Amino acid sequence: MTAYAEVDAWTSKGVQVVRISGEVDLTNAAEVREVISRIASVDESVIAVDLTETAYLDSSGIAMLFRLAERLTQSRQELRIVVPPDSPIRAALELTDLPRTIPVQHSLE
Amino acid sequence: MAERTEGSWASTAHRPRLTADLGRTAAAAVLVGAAYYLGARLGLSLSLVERNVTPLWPPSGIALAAFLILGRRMWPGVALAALAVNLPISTGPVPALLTALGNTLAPLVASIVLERIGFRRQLDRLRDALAIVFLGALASMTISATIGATTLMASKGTRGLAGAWAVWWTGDAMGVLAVAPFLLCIPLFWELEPWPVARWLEAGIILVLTIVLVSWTTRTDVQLLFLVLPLLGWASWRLQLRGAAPAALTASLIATWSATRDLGPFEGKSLLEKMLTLQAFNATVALTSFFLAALVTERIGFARALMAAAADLEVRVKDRTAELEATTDRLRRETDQRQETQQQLTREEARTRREHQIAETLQRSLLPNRMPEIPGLVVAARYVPATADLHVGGDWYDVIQLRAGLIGLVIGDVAGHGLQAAAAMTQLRMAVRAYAIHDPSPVTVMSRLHELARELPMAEMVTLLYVLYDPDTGTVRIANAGHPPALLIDDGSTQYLDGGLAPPLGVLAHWDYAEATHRLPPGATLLLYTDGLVEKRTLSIQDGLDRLLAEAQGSEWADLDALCDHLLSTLAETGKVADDIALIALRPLALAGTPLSLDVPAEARMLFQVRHALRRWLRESGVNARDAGEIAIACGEACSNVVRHAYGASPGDMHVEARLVDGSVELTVRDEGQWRRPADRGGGLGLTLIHGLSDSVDIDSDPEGTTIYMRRHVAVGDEK
Repeated sequence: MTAYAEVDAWTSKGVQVVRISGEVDLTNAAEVREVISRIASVDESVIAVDLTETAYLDSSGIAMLFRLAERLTQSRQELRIVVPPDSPIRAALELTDLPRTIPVQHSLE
Repeated sequence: MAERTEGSWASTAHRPRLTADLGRTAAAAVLVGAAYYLGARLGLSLSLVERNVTPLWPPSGIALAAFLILGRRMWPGVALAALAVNLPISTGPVPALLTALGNTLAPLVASIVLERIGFRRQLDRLRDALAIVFLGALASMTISATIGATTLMASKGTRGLAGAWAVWWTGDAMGVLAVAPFLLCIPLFWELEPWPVARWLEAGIILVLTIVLVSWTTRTDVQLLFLVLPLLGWASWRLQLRGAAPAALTASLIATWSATRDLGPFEGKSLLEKMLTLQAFNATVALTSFFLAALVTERIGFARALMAAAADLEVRVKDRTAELEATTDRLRRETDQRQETQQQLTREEARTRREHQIAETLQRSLLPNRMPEIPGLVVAARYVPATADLHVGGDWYDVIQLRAGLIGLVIGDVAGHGLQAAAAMTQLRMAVRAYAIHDPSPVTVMSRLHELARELPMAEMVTLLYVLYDPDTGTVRIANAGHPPALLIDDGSTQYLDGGLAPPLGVLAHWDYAEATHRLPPGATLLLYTDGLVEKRTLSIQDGLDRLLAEAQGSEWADLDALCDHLLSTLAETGKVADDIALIALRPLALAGTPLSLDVPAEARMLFQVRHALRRWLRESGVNARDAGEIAIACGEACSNVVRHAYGASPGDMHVEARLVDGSVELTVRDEGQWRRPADRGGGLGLTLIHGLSDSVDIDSDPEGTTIYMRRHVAVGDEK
């Protein structure tokens, strides 16, 4: 999709899963959000953004997730984030307020 | 008879001719003898005193003329006739014999002498006239005079030898002068060009006038003998010898006859006076006519020769002119042809050169015009077009930055040259980029290219080497479709990387591509090249590969550009490059152990490069993955701030330094932009992360720029 990141999506048990593989930074955050928004415009009420394969996510990416959450709230959908405990981005996510507004889980299960 | 030989045939065939010749000669000799005898009778009839003193002795002239015209073999006729003439008038057979001998010898000697000096009996040169007068007549006749007069004196016992000798000598000499030229002129009537009727008429008139004039002047008392001279001049001038000789003879004969009859001017004169007058007249007549005739003939000859020369010259000039014109025409035609050929060549050359330029321009425009800046990596490339006219073509290389910091390196060669090859190369190059971005795996890229090559109407063979370099793992994955192998230049082990080999693209209907994985350690160099570097007319490809290996091994090249230049200068053919050469070298810098220092443009696209170079440095320095990942985010935030806020619209650089000091990573991100507090830069979240992911953060701002110092303790070594 972009030079650094790929987005793929599927539904699993009534949850719309969106997986981001690669790296998200200033250059591609907006693009990634657009792709996710498009995918999320389905009827599923829960959207799970899977960051298991995400090697890098900086403030642009985190800001993107905040905005995505806002947008989904408006459409009465729920955003969840999946980050494994040993992920290099977990610390960054935890430094922000994100886990307080968006549910973060270790895995899709 | 059966046994008759050729020789007998020959002899029988020969004999009659010989006989006939002998017969003719004998007949001629008899005729000459008869003429001699008749001449002698005439001479005797003209004697001034009792058949004894003859002022004109025609036989001498007859004999000389016979020898000159018919040959000296006429001598028997002359000798016999002389004997016959002398016998009755001599005292005995001995004196007659002696006299006849003298009479024969004198003309014989005269003819020999004349022949020796190259006398021409045509009397057409002054020297011939002089020769017959002085040698033929005056000198030679001393022989007959001496023998004859002596014999006469001895046989008759009379005195006065000198007088007899003088009479004899003048008679003989006059005989020669008067008769010989006349006889010599006779053959000229059929030897020279025949006279037209008018000439004959003129000759007749001259002869008649001569007879009339001489007859009259020899009958009158007045001394008018000289009046004949103008007539002789006329004859000589108009008719040359053929007109002058008969006239002169006639004049002499008439004058001599008159003298014997004591007529006109000779009347009542003494013998001596008569002799003097007559001989003087005869000599004048002879000399005048023959000298004049010879002079005129000579002049006519010269005039003819001149005319002939002039005519010949004219002909030659005409010939030469025609020849020159022909040559000029031919030259002009050749020049025209050459010009036409030249123009054709020039047009052809111009077209070839134009195509060459287009192909080369196309080629160059499609090659990356500068290597991407990839922090921690050095890339150098070269392209040398073939110098031969259309041999620019299908070589290309490419560096493709792929996701997750992967680098795709491509080098390829479309067989053939010129525009078509360049066009095929263009399609392939774009295809490789597209396929690699979609899925960088060598096997996938190659398989797709193979299908494309099968689909595209590319008649030419394509070799291609695709390398996927992963900076994170320090490995290269290689797939090779018929291309010369990549060369790994490393301290310890410089070697060609094998494996992943396949035939050239599209050759076979189907091929299961494979890939080989090799380590590319920091500091080592991976070299890709096209066959132009190793294949030459004078060198087998194996020798070329050996040479490349030796050259690459030979020395350490800190500078990749210098390495490329060195390889080109030592391996490429000097002067004419028969095939184009493409060359690309990739070297991951050895990062561990030294501080990392990156100077890159402050642009968003560099963020990825910077954090990847940093991560590699951290990894190679032994920093554990978790710390490394979080430091990368902190660094990334600092850099993002610079990219977004430091320079505004104008371009600038950012400087990233990382060093490992006492178990801590010290990271510095510096810019030369306008000072704004990072908090004011709208990067609140970023700053939070910077602070949160570092143990300590210092921010220095001054008018010359902003520097962020970050420090974080890290785990080094095998700790997870």
